[in-house]
Amino acid sequence: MSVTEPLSPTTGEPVSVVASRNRLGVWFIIISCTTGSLSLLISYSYLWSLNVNSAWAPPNNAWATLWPFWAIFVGEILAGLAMRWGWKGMEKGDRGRMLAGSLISSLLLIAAFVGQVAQIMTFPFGPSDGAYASVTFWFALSNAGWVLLSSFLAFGIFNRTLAGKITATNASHAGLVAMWLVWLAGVAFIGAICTTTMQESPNTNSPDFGNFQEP
Amino acid sequence: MTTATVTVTIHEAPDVIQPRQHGKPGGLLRYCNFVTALILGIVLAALAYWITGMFTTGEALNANFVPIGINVQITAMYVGWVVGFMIGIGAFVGPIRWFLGRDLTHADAEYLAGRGQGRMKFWKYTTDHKIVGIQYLIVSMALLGFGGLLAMLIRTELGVTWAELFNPNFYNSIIGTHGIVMIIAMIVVVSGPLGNFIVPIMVGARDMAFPRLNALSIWLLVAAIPPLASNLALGGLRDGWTVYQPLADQAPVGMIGYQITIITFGFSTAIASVNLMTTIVKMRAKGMTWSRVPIFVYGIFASSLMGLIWFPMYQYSQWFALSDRVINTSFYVPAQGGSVWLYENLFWLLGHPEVYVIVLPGVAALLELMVVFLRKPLFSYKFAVAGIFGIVGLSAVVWVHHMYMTGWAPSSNYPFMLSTEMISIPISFLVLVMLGTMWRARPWTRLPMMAVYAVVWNKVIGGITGVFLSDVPVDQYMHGSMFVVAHFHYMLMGAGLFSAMAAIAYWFPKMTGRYLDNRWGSIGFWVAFGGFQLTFLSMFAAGLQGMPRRVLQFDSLFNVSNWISTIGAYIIGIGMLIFLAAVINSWRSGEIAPANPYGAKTLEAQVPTPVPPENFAVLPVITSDPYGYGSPDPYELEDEARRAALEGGEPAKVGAS
Amino acid sequence: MKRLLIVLGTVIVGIGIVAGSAAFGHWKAAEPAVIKAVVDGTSPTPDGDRTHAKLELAIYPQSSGAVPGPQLNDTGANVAANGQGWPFYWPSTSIELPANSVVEVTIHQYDSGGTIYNPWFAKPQGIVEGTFTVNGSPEVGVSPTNVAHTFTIHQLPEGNQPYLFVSVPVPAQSANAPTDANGYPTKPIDVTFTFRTGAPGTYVWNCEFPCGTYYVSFGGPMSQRGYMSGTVKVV
Repeated sequence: MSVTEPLSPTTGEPVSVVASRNRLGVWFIIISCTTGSLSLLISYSYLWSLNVNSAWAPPNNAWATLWPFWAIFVGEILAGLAMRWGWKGMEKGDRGRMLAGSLISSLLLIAAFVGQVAQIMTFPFGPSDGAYASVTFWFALSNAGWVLLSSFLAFGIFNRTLAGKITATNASHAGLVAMWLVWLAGVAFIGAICTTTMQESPNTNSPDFGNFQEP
Repeated sequence: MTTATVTVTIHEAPDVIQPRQHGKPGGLLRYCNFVTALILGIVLAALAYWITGMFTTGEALNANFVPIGINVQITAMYVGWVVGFMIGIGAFVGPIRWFLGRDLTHADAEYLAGRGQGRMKFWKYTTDHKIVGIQYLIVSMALLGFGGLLAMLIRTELGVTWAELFNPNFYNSIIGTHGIVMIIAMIVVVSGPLGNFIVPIMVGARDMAFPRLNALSIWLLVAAIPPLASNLALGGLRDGWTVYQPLADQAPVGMIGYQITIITFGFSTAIASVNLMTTIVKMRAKGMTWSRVPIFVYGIFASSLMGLIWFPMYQYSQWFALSDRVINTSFYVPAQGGSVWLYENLFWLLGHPEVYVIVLPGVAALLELMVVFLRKPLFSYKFAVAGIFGIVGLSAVVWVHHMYMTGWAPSSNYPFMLSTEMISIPISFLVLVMLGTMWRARPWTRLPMMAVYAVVWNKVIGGITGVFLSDVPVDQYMHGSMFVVAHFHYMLMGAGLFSAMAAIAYWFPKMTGRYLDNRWGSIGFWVAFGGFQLTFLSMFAAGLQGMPRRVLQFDSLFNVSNWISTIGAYIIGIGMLIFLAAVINSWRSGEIAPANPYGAKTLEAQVPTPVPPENFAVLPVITSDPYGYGSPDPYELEDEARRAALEGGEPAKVGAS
Repeated sequence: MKRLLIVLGTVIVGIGIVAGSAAFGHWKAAEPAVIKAVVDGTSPTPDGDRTHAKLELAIYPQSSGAVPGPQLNDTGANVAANGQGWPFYWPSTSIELPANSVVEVTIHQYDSGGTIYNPWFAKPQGIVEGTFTVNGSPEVGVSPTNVAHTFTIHQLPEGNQPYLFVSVPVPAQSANAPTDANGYPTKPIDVTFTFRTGAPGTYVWNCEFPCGTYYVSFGGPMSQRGYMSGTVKVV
């Protein structure tokens, strides 16, 4: 144990011990969130491959524009990199880098959130326009939720740095948020890659269940 | 388990630089408790219902011809309840303080841990793992009571074969509600109380890895219950606990209560799993290598791991079902490109591992306690660990056996038949470890040990009938019959609940400072066990006769088996009530127990009772495995004596040791 | 002794809670009050004279001040909280008929309709001579495109009671039919049919034209006793 390493005010343990524990906890949370997002991936690929009732595609094949998915993904990657850059700087004692990195990360995440909401508002289909529309809406909605949560975390790091809570010897929270942002980008990547590579269903001979109407 | 002297210094509060104390210790949490949570939950629920009512109309229908307006309102009401309740209990104080940089001081942490708050700490967002364990115990007992009450109503209806006591809607609703309430109760009944109270001490930790998340997990569970219970007033939950599509889409708005409950409970489970697993991996005492970890800890770890990985699938299946109702998506609407099979797959991806999430902690608890009462080392510890992780691995590849008869991917039935049959191998490992440990032992006949025999019996019956059902041709005949109901009750109740009763009886002295009344506890246990056999063996018979499950009306051919099952169920009920009386009695005025009432070697038995706030005055160091009983084994000595006697030509002394 | 008393007390309280819950569930979720067919003489049949009984039912498109809709026993509350807009049989869906009798049923129909999913149910089944009357004129079926509901009695899965299967289609009101202050057509369509009962037994009946809410119209009144389904007890 380093002589100068600070101790946790609540447990009295060295902060590196607490940080190590937190890191594992975040890894477990990421595993859990990943299997949740896998449900979306399963849903997308399953419904895409089945094309039930020939209703995978949205009306008039009005697919979502692809570049916003990738733009948001890139925004999240950059947010993660900015946070990591700030964190590494903080570990070397450069508080300015931490402030800049976390602020840039926060702003990028806010931009990603705004972009995500704008994308949802401008989809050329509604959530009920077929299976593609439903899953794509969910990709976008869940990403918006995650980005909002992540921007809270990133702003929190900025604010905590301002308040002197993130220091050279106790910067682990910034590292954890940087780690989390990598996962966030991973989720956005899943949505982007699905919508880009799996558009027209390969099943052109799907069963027809008709169109149920109220009597 | 042998422990050495202190090697780690505890840093008391005065040694550590403290952040600034904002106001009194605890801050806003001083004003948050169960009552404020109830009030805010109800207020926010009413507000959300009222506000959304202003913006939605009752006429518009979604793709399933469900009126969207009322669905939006009811969803908003439930979300308002959960959010309001969590605000009221103080769950958002921590994140906001973190954001503002107002870190907890030692005094804050002490307040949060419930120090000096008397019984009020049980009604607050308390972080001490021992308090959370007791909270889990009370909540799981309440859930079991509610689910048990519904079971009694079900059996009453099925036993009154000459009349309809309830109408079919209500009957189906209590069936579905009973199912999911019991599933939730069984998921938490061991991992909750004992995972929280016992495991941190057992691994040599001062608390769980994330104490505030610990409080969050229990209060999320509490918030999750009212939406589920309220379904009975909102049209009911008539589709069984599985709520298959498209039945769930057709169902009245009570279904939204189910969906919100599962989503909320999913967060609770994930958080609890993360906490337990991190505690086990990172906070074990020095010297507690993976080969010295008590087997109960392995059971909890494996259960948490499965919950962590698979529960989100179930949670997302309900997110999608809710969005089909509320924002008109079509995940499960075939006319618009959805598939009901998608639901079944997502559901059963958790649905089957969940059986092991329930059973493993209980069975591991039995392995843990039986060595104490047999005074023998656990037979083949590594075999037991292999069995546990074999179950974890194979549980991921068996879910399709629930879907043999749905018509989904028939060619996949046979591989899944094989994988399901294979899972009986690691399960058998655990039974064999039990039998091996019992072999030639002289049991100390206290209730927890007696329960081991009961559970082995139940598990063997449940396991063998499970192997039958995993077989596609047999399942074609048995699917959806009472045979299946009897089978899974043998596993979930026979193995799960009876293990939980034994485990709670075993650790009761540590949790309450008093023995569980062995006499009345045993009477309750055995009465319930007898009733259980009567109920479910007879249900096997009804299933073999061809009686379908989830029906109110049936042929008189099945009358006799149903009468027997109902009588058996009442006997279970009486047994459980006697057990409950023993718990209440013992908790209030039972015989005071010493710190280590059964002479166990695990760490939790080495700390004083009541357990001190920080568990250990000094952190222990582990120098041996926890099962060093009777070493050298007296039977081995006896065998050697016999051999020596035979070689010497002298008759062996039978019974010598 | 004290412990024994506490155990006994717990068991008694538990039994009380179960019994109370069962009684409450029975009261809250019980079937609508029973309507009995009125015996009004005898009727000749190939097997000799049999008791003749009459039953009158009505079908309304929704509840109103005049016709409050399905109610729980003596409570005055609607069976389903959101069921005021649902179609329902009236005055009750719990029916009691005399055994070994000839039963004449008249249904006064006020609801609209459409094309039935399964046209087989547009023809009557299990009634005397295979004919029924619509506003007094004999019919052997109605147009599948103009059905409001059906009245269909099914055999329960009960091996020791006589077979009973009766199904009669009920034609729809015109969408342009003049209505009264309650929103009901001023003139009902009267459907009359006759069938025979055998030995005592318990049966269920329902409408076979999904006319409810939710997915393919099987929700709401179709899945809530008291609206489009009920019981028939032959005593």
